[in-house]
Amino acid sequence: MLKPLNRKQKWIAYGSLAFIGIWTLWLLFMIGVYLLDPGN
Amino acid sequence: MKLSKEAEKLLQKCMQQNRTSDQDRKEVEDLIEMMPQDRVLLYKNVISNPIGDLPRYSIHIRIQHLLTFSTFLLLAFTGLPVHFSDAFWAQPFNSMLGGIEVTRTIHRTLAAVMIFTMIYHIATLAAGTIIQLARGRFDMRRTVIPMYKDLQDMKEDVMYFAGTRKQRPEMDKFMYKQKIHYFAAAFGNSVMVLSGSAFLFPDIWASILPSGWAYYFQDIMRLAHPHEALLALVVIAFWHWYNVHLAPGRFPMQWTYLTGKITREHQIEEHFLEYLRNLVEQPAERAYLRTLLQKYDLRGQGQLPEGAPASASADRQ
Repeated sequence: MLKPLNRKQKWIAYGSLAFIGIWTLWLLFMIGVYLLDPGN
Repeated sequence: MKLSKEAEKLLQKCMQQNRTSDQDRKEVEDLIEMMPQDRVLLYKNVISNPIGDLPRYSIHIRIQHLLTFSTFLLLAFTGLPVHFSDAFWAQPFNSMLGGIEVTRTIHRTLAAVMIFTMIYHIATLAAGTIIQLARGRFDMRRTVIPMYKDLQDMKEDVMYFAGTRKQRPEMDKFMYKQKIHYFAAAFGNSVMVLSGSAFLFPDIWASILPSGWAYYFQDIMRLAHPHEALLALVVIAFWHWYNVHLAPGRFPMQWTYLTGKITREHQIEEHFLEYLRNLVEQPAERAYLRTLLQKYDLRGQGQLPEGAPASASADRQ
């Protein structure tokens, strides 16, 4: 069982999560661009 | 708990390498005797600090991970607008940075940092191995080198997730999944460095390769560089980030890359053999486990004792 995160730890953990979320959205966009590129 | 032959051998070797005293040896053996046969009971009953309890990565490995992931993301961020330079979104991006030549220069500078990190990593592995050998504490099972046991672990873990096995296998410091990921990353980085160098130094490659090959080599490298980049991004986003951020037990984040420590809950669940070594090497962990096992008599379980956290019973159903 994990002890709960304190306020600062929550900021770091959920901030990192938001960061990778934004990156994943960008990646999905890039996959779309890649698949639509007639050169591939 | 009755240890498997593999775990017993590993424990004996660890105690021998650490020159464990008879008193400590007896303490470790008593603790193992007190452990429940069902490891789920154990890891569901331990209390873990979310940012980690037990040592896993040195400061060097953490610096290398920070350098690798920051350069990797920025390389992707600057490389894709160069590759898709005609796309509607890439032109304003390149203009914002000062033109495509500036984007290229940033990309190449970041690549140099990534190559430095790879060299730093190899040097760390070499120095770490030499130090452990000199101290008589090297154990290949504790490294990322693939072994036959990893195949067995993978089979048993698949059986566990398919519901045909009660417990996950007893895995070592690096489990099969991490080894696959590590070598995939090493291969991917090598492809990127090789293909990147082909664009940067075409004359040198032409002088090295047999006559007539340079043209085809450049063609293959032009294909490999962007495809490998996108593949690596997909692997990082949908495999690595899932495992370290989203997987049950890890959400919202696994802290090992910052603190260098792993939670005891995670260590017992996925790296039980390394946890046995931690019992030998960390007196504080022995003290913690003794207190827990004296509080809840889990020996030879079985059933959950009265007063144990309810999460354990839910997990077993």
